[in-house]
Amino acid sequence: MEIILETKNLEKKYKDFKALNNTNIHIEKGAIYGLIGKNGAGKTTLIRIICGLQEPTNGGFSIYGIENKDRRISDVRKRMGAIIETPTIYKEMTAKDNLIEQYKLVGMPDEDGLEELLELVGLKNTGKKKVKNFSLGMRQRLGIALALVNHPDFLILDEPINGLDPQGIIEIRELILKLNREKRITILISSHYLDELSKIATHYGFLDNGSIIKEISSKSLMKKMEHKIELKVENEKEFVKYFEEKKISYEVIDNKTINVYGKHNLAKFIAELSKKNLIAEEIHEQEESLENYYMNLIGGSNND
Amino acid sequence: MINLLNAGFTRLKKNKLFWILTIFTIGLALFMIYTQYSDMKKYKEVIEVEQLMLNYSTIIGVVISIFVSLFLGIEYSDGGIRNKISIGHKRINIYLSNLIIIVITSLLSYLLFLMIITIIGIPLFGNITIPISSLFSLLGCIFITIVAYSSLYTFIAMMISNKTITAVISIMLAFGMMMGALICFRVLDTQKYIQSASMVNGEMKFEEVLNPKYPSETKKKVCQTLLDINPAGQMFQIVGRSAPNLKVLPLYSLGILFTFTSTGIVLFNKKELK
Repeated sequence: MEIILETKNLEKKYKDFKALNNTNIHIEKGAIYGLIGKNGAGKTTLIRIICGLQEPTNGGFSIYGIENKDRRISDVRKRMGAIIETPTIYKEMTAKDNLIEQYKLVGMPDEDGLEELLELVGLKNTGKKKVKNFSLGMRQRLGIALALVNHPDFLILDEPINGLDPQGIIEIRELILKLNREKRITILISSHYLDELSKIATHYGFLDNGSIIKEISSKSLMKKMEHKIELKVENEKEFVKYFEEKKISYEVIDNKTINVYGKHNLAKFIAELSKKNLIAEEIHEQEESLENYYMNLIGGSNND
Repeated sequence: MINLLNAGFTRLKKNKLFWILTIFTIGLALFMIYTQYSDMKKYKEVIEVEQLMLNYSTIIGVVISIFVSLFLGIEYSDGGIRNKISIGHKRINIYLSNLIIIVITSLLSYLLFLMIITIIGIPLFGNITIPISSLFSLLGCIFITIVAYSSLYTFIAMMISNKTITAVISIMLAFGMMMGALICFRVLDTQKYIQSASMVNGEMKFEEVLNPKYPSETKKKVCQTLLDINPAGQMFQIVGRSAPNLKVLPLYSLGILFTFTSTGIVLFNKKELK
């Protein structure tokens, strides 16, 4: 799988404060990569560095395989679109004028596709209304339209739903999914709204205190968050044999622990096991949310 | 770079501040013509049209400081610079394109002023009374000083991310330079001898005595150099046609342009942006 963005032991220091500390992320082509972290975890700093607004103190990163020290990094950025914190919009201008300005900035020979872009983000009928009179959601959507002018294949969105009302959040979510599915744009999206991210992300990177503490695909995460029964057993082989026979989804964690996934009636499940003389020493039923998963991760990293 | 300039001029055309500047320039030119024409009619004064052509230079420093701080300040406040960098424009090109836009806008403002004075002023006040080459030298010096002003205020606007702070510092600097120039003029204009009055046998006696405040030759040289370096000082000397050495003024202006632009590019390249 082609890697679009990779950071290698990225470090950013502001005097004595380490905003990023050996950060390593890997974003595959076609992914919607959800960068999760609480406020001050280093999400925006990471995005600022990737976009060239700040220089890393140590370590580096590559975009489409081009290292950040390479002079060609500016050229590579021409294939990117970004909204960092707030969208870049001249508030005294209309949506169309802002787009025309962006067309000129990226060196487009004409304004082909401008109306389609406005339609894509639902701003076709804003006419002569100045951006200063737009709602937050409209501004965010215009910001995304601006980021799409150069037909990027990598889009960076920093906290795109901050301050939006529920309707605005749905609109942005649908737009992001559309861009990813229809235009095949790889997207890095940072947020601390876990619920929202869980609806769109295909991959996650959990950032805490400037370090990525876990990178995981949505599929693997879903599996981890599935309803599960944790069994502490003496001999896992007998259990495995039984689960294989019954085609029950399971995972051997170690030679004393097995996780069984899926919805099972616990009493019935224990009874079935007993019939086969399979006695577990301990049984725990668990159902994890992304929030719990995140909190456990953060707790784990903080306890390290 | 061409894309940056193209986008910059597109924004300029849509910018309210640019049109305010244009209307101000036209209004100022018409106001000057009107007041001078009234004086000519009322007091039978002889008005030299070339003097009118030079007058705008005394305040253009303040005008540029306001325009640059607000026009470029928006680049930071609305995220324009952040956008340009994130879509792959080099920082040196961003700096230079902004400087070029400011220089051209400032020069256009002066040219517009000149055009109005020429079209309306010459029929009202008569032809230019000094050799045309002298007028061109004076205007050439003004244009180069305008470039120096532009580079100075562009430097400030590109170094400070806060629009309000940029505006306050730029405007204060513009007035500070004017004040500095006036102080230098006062020192240089100090009379060597002053009249002293004394009573001798009940009679008033006047005599010329050496002015204790008369500056030393070194102090005079320092003041003249400061006046020559200071863009406001340059403009006052050009308008008053009092520069001892007119040719040296463009050299100082080019020095300002080179120093502030090269330093600005180096610092802007290292600047951590938010």
